[in-house]
Amino acid sequence: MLGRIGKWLNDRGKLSELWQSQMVEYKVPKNLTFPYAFGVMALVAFLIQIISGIFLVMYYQPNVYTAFDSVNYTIMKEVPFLWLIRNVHAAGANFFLAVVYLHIFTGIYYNAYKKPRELTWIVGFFIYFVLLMTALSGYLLPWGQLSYWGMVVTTEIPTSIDSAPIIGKLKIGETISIWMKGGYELGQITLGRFFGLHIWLLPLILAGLVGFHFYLIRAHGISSPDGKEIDKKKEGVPFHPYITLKEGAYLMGYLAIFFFFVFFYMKHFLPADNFDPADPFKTPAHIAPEWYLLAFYTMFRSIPDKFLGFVVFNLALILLLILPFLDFSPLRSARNRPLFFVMFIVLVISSIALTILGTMPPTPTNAMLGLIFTIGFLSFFLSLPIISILEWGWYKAKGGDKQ
Amino acid sequence: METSRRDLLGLAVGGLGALGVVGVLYPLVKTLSPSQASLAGAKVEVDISQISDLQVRVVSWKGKPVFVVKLPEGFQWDGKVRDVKNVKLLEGHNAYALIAVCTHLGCVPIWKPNGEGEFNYPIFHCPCHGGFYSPWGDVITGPPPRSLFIPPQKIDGNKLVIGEEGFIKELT
Repeated sequence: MLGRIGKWLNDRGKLSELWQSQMVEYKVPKNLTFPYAFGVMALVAFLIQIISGIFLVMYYQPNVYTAFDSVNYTIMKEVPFLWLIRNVHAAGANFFLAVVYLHIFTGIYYNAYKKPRELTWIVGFFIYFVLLMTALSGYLLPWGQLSYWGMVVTTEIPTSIDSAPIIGKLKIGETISIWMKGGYELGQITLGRFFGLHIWLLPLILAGLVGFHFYLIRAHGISSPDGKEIDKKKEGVPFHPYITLKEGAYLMGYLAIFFFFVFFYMKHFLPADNFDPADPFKTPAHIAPEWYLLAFYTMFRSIPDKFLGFVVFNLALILLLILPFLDFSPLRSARNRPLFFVMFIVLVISSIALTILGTMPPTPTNAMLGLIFTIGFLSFFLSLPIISILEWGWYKAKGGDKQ
Repeated sequence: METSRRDLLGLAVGGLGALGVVGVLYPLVKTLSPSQASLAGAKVEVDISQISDLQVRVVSWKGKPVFVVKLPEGFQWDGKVRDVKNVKLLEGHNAYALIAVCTHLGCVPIWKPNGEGEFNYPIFHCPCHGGFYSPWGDVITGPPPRSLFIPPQKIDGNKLVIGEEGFIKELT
């Protein structure tokens, strides 16, 4: 009986043809390394956020008077197992961003942004950007002290434009800031609109971008760790069962670590300060953004000039976006590019150092270190054109590009 | 290439379509702009002739509580402050506004024209952790790290206008 239903569905939906053509006949390089699994981990993290978010939104109240209690009483104490779903959502956001960062660094290491994959990279950048906006807006919703003051600081960032020479006089920054908040104060209007953005608009945009990202990966095939494009007819292994099983196993390992944190170690994902309700008259003593924004935050505050700090941290984002056009070397993968490898290490160390410095108090020494690592971070991107020119020289000397 | 009436039709349909998109987007984006109600209180006028000497009135400016202080002519003050930032900015004015939020942890200080304890002259006293401020908002003692903030303000006849550039240009 079941078999007949299955056959009926298969005949009408052509499901086994789809499976055969998309999973079995889809060939990928056989030397894919472990970091290639971060993509599928990010996809699973996204699904976890959507499912847990759907259940949280049934009980959360986007109202300044009841938001905090709806989170910390109704969700955490009243409804059975909703504490678990909140833990999953809060830890999930951190894991999602961590995996996305690893995914980005993997892409940089293997030069997965090079022709013909520039658009995949650009779409990925926008996924990252919208993801940051989603995480930021979601963090406001519990209406705790860190939620509130984190958003106060975030909505003040555009006012940096007003410290600029000439255009500062137009007060564009203040206008943007007021438009973000819906008034002078961070209040009910702000909470309502960030709630709407967080549960509807941003996840829908994310879903669309992720779909496009996947389509582009399929359209061009997966890059290989040694930088050689495979001949899909002769080389490569079928995606199913080789990669599905391998990445499935990695995924189970990832979920084991994730649920260890969800059950036994939530204090970093639900910080104690955010269990105090928002108080517009009391700034907490130590206020810094969430860890995934700390690198940009350190750049912003290490530069003594407000407008220049704003320019530099936006420049960091823009350089990430235009990375495929900065690196025009014919060589692919850091395995074949010693100079690139050195600069990649500089980038990784600078990013980690900027993140760690962001958790420390803003002393002059820390500001100086922040400045040094900001230069380290930017130097990776600015060195790419130079390395590319050098590598073109080697490539031609070896007789490349002459067939 | 020859232009035909079909090209004109194409342009007309495309143009109307673009107009329609703008017509949809404009109100959608405009919903994000601040409402009249949320912009109220950006400029507050206080009639200083209605405040008697050595009295303080609390008003609201951009959602923050603000003290309007009125000092008598030739007011002398005997206290010592840690820093003279505010008194320098407010020199020569006997009516001015200060943001009424303690710079330590954000309580609203209390005006004590007759002093408090060992301070037998007018002061602001923050009851939360014992911050003491001069009538100009400079810290006398206690944990506050800096003087009270001063909003932009100007004098217009009998009126103190808070929120407009005058003898204080911007929030400091």
